[in-house]
Amino acid sequence: MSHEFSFPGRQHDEHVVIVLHRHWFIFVKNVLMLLLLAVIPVAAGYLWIQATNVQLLAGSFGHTAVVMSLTLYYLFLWILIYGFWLDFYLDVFVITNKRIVDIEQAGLFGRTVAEERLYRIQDVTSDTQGILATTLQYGNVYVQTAGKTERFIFEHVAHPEHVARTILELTDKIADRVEGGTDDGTAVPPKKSSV
Amino acid sequence: MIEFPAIWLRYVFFFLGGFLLLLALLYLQNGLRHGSRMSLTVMASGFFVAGLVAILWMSFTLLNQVDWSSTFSLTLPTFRLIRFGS
Repeated sequence: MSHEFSFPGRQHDEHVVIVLHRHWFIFVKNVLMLLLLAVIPVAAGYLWIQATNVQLLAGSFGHTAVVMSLTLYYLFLWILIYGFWLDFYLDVFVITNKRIVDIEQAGLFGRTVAEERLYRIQDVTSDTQGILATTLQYGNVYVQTAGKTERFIFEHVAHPEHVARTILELTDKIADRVEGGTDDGTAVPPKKSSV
Repeated sequence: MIEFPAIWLRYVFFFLGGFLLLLALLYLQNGLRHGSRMSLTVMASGFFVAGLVAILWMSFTLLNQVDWSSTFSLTLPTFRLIRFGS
């Protein structure tokens, strides 16, 4: 049994062609930064105890203050990691046989869902900048649509050239159908892929 | 040297910890509302809650030995460069 990705406003005759999240490296980079922040107080405390020979007796003010501070600090870091995860995983770019949908989670209370019909797409560009992006094969895809100055930007997605090519193939199919006079605003989806 | 009841420190800790737990709850609610149909979000949320419980459990275990009815005394450092009065 196949399970197709569902998103708000999906139509019954709409087929999902590609579901894109940001590249995993973006999330890992944030987590590594937080891990570094998690190690700093432990390392600093160890060095301080070695240098001053101070002993923190259980139940003393020093011990209590250190435990409470570290608890609050690690709670904060843990919440940040979960926030990064949500930001990574709930930001979704969906390409269907009818349209492209960009779902962006912005912090706790912000969520943007932007969509555009495939037949309105005029230009698709992909770019990969930097050593890491080139090595790990991630980059941005820019989709220019008719009548709008604003572009759709799929940021830090894996295999941007493949994504751009797939969008162009879908728009070409719609254009062919329009020329053939059988247009219903949908493209016959190519082989389903996930990148 | 200043002296203050130990329970004051506990109140401050509960206030700040409560604020962070409220924030965690908001994140959790937000994550599950938008990602409840995504299995990875549910798993990550479970892992997140387990982490919260682990941090709090360790904290309360370590703070178990504190006598909250006592007072803490704190020796302030002497400021050699700044002197008030004569």
